[in-house]
Amino acid sequence: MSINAQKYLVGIMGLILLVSVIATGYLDAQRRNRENPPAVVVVAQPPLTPDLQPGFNLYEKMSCVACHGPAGKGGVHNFNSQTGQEVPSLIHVADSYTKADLIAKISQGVPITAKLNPDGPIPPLHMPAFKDLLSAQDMDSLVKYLDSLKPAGDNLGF
Amino acid sequence: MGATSNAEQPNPPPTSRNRRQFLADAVLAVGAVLGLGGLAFRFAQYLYPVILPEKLVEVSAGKVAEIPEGGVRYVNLPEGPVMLENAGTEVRAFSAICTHLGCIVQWQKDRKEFVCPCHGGVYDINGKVTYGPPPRPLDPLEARIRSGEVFVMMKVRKEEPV
Amino acid sequence: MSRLTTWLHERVPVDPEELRKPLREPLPVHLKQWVFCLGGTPAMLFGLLAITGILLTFYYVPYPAQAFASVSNITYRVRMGWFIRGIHQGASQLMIVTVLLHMIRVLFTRAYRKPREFNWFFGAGLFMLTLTFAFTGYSLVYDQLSYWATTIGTNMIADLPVLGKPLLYFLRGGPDVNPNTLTRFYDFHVGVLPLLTTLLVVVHIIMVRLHGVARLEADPREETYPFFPDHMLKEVIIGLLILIGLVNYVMFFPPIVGAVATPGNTPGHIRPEWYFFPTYRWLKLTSLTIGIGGSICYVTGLFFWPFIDAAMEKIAPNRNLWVYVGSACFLVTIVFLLWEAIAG
Repeated sequence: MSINAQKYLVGIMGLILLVSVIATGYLDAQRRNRENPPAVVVVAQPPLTPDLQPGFNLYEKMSCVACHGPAGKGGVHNFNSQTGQEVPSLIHVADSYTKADLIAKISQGVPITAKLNPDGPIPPLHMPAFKDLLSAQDMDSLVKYLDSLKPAGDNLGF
Repeated sequence: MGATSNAEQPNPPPTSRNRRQFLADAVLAVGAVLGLGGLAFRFAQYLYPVILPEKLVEVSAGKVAEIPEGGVRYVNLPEGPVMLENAGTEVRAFSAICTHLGCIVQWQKDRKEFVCPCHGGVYDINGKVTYGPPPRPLDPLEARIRSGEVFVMMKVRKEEPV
Repeated sequence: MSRLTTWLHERVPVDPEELRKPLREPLPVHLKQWVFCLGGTPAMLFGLLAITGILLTFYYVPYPAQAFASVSNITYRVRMGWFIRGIHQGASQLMIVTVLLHMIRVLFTRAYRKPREFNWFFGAGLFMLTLTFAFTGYSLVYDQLSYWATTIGTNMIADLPVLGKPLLYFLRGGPDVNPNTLTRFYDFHVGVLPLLTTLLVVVHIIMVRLHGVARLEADPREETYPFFPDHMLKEVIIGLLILIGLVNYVMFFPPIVGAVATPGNTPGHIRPEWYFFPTYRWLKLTSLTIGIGGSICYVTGLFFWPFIDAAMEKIAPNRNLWVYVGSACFLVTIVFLLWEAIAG
């Protein structure tokens, strides 16, 4: 292919690129704002031994289940929250929190959930403060139950 | 051709070969610039943040009774910091953002003035600048009272929920 | 205008002729075939990846709690975010392919022979860096597929003899996965690897210029043609072709986001990306020791191929053993790749 022919080819390809790039704009308007909420992770309910029963009862009675799901599996939508636009699951609290930290978290709650998009609305769900609603003994039972939610098996990760 | 002085090189005579080459060069230049320019434009669009339009929104700022009689109450609303003044007959609201460079002013009870801690700007009880670098008075906000509760009209940039 | 030129030249005392020399580099005419432009192609893709990568860093957050959300944000909410991410992903796949094609070309034209053995070494290093780029980049998405594919990969590293465990701890930033692990992978991907790759690319190109382009055994022609504009135009055409291809590909196959990474819950059927299929299949076929040992031999052989070729030439001169050995290794790799792709 002669040099001049190649130069023409470059010019034409540049224009084809321009047309393609213009087309992306139309697709952009279409694609944005279509949410794709992450799929809910199904976790088997760990067996309930007698010492976990009080904590389990509290989990249901205090409505933890309403936001954090049965057995803490999560999956409840919380629009514009930074935690993947969902209420976080609780199945790994045993690894992520010390007992004291977990009790502190439940006691203080999270008054305003952090926003994913700062220009967007405040997420509708927030963690209430339970410090006046649960006794110290209740907290112990609840934490014991939450620690038991961790799935069995190795906790591999990279 | 090096650092030769004047542009005394004679223009090559316009042969058909030169013209063909020039045309090819021109097509190349125009096509490449347009194509790559378009791509660069998309990159720039990605980078530049989306600026939502401002809207006025009515926000609750607490009860009238919470504002000291003849004094000022500072409320840090999620939509912005606000100074509420109980002037007896009415409640006035100002933005607590200093008009100089954006720090939050503080109400000095004893001296009855707003002072900005950053560069020492001072505003009187009407929000007017009495000292320092602020270029204009504190921005007044519209305040409405309904059943003993104060509502302030705040400028907010909100994305409509999908 | 020439007053400006003089003014500039006093302050930047560089001879313009010297600058124009690399552009006039005479290339042997066999380079006019398109298959010889495959070296510049990964370089262009690297540039595109660097630009789109930097753009992605404006919205990506390298911390476990926010990584997935930020990728989700880019893909579904940021203006043209899907486009930038899609181009980045597509270009990374294409880069591995073009590096491989370039390697194959150099292999079968025997351009690595004395005195160019070092450059083959640097090229093999660049190939490894490209794979590492892909591996670390993929780990940043932090959805289920990405998280577990990375888990498999890093645990494989632990099995390397002697270096395995220390290397794994280094990569993880600790004995176990911790919040800094993701950030570490991010730093490798965005800081360390780009630096190393840029350095190696520069050295690689300088070496080619120092030695001059290798002659083809089968082509005795002495004629040359200039790098600019002739060869450069070909590279530009390929570059534009890639851009047009990628832009349109991303429009028809935009990127998506899977389920958020859940440590402790591996979904079914996880496997690494296609460029690791040959190794993956090999490891599944053999015991751990043979698997790791074989892989190490393969990679070492790759790096030292020019010397292996030279040794074979000494043992059996003019029998072209290199063709058989080279083709055999190439075929085995392809077979394993396809095997894993189809049956895995």
